[in-house]
Amino acid sequence: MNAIVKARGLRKRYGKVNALDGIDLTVEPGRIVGLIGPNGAGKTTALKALLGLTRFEGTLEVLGHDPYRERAEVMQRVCFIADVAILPRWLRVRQALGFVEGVHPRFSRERAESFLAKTDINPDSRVRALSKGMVTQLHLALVMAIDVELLVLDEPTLGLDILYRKQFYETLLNDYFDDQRTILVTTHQVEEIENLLTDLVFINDGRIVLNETMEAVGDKFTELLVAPDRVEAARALGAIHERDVLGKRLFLYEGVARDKLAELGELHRPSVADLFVAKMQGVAA
Amino acid sequence: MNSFTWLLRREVWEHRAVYIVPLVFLTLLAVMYTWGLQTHGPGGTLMIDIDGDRTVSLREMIETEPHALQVMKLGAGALPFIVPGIMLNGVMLFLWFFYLTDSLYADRKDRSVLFWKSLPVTDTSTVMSKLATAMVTIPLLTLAGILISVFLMSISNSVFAWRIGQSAWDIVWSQVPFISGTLTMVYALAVQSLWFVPVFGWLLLTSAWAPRAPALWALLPPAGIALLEAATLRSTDFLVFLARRLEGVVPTAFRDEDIDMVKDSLHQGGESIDWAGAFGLLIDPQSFLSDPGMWGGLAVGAVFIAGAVWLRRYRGEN
Repeated sequence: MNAIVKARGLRKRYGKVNALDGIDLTVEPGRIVGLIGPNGAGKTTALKALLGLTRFEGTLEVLGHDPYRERAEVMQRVCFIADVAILPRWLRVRQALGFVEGVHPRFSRERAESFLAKTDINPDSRVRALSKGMVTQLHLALVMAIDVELLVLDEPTLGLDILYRKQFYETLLNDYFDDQRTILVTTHQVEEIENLLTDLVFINDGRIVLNETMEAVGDKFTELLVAPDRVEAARALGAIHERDVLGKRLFLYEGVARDKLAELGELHRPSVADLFVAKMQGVAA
Repeated sequence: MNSFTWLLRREVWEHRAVYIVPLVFLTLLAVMYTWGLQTHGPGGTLMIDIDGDRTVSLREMIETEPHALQVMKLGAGALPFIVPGIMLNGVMLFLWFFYLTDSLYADRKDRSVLFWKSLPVTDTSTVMSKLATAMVTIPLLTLAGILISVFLMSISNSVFAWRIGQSAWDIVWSQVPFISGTLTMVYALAVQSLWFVPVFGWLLLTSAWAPRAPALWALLPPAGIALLEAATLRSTDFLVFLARRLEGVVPTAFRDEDIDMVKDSLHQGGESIDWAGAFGLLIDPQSFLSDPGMWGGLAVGAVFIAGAVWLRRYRGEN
């Protein structure tokens, strides 16, 4: 199978700042990739490059095309919800359906309408009359009815309450995703997409600091909770991060054998959020 | 429907003023015209001054003055086209300005531009849909407004004819040049759109570029150039050049001479007025198509439009 996204040495500078500082990334079809990073890490720049919205150095192929020079071809097979993308306030729901149906050969109006039927959205409403949650539901209904190979979501649930956020990802996973489709998503709410992802990519200062499948993450990283008297022994095994938890010390290890760790205390599987903090802060914190 | 048709519909959804404003104005015109004609017309308050010392009522004049009916027919045929034509064309100039300066700015301002860009529509098609709205949709809506006005004014004229004891068919409906008048309007609107292409291009360019207040940015550079020229060269060539463009198509696409020929042709039809013949003498497509200013304008317009497409594609990527 051909890779959906292939980036080699992807760079982007804004003045003196390196927003992207040599990214190598391959995304295979049928994956859900979480691109996680602190503010200003380069997530949005990377997605913009993928969508042909910004110039870059290095090589980048999306579905076999250079997204910057062949944006039209790429956009036939890619769709996105950008964090700043909001639907125009004057647009009516019915008009939105008609328009997308009219310009997108891969849009199924039936599908979009069945998504909308599950919401309280009135087809005659204008976007300005909808709540923020409803606008997101509408946007998602439009996008999920488009049969594209790559869906890019940049902070899609920003500003939504937890009910909508959960619903958003559930719908995405149950009604949209299949092995023909690939989803690339960035978010700050790591915990919420943790169980959704097949692949995890951490990005910081324009560089990739972690790029693993979720299975590999589980194999490679281990959390160890130890009593105060065994802290030195635990530290000697080369933890990448440690912190206090309820009078005990919690260590995070990368690539250290489990049986060796088990002798010192309780083993846990680290959450993506803990892993993220560890990777971003390092041992120093 | 193909996708470009949807882009054109989108423009009308977003900019409802393009049909609401002409509708408001034509309604106002029809009401005012009817009110004026019916209150001051047949009731005798409209008196026609002949020889300075004698006033006659309309009825009396029709009986004594053989040309009176002919003049009325002339008015019934020409006024319903000329009055709304001039008014709605003026309205259209404002619509063009506000529509075009807003067209590539509004979705950048409300940030929905990324939604539109998430669909497989090229930036060239987007800009072309805005241009086509200015060149075709808005003039067609204006034409529709003019034709509705022709109809409403003719109804008013019929009531007037009936009230002065004349046949509405003879005086009004047989006189209104529905076909030749419409064709002349289509010609006028088409040549006008072509003539204004450089202006449209300029407005699209500033709309695609302006960080805010695109309408202001559209006016500033021309004003700046004119001021600079006045200050340094003490001349007004640029203003004259602009005025020549903005004055429109009448000097290039219509004949302003041979008024007598037009007058003669109006009467050649005998009882009825030969409008088709008169319009045929008025329009001058050959002069328009051979005018270097028209072709030069198209070339400059093409450069501006290409600039607008480029900005739409690459602006805001920073």
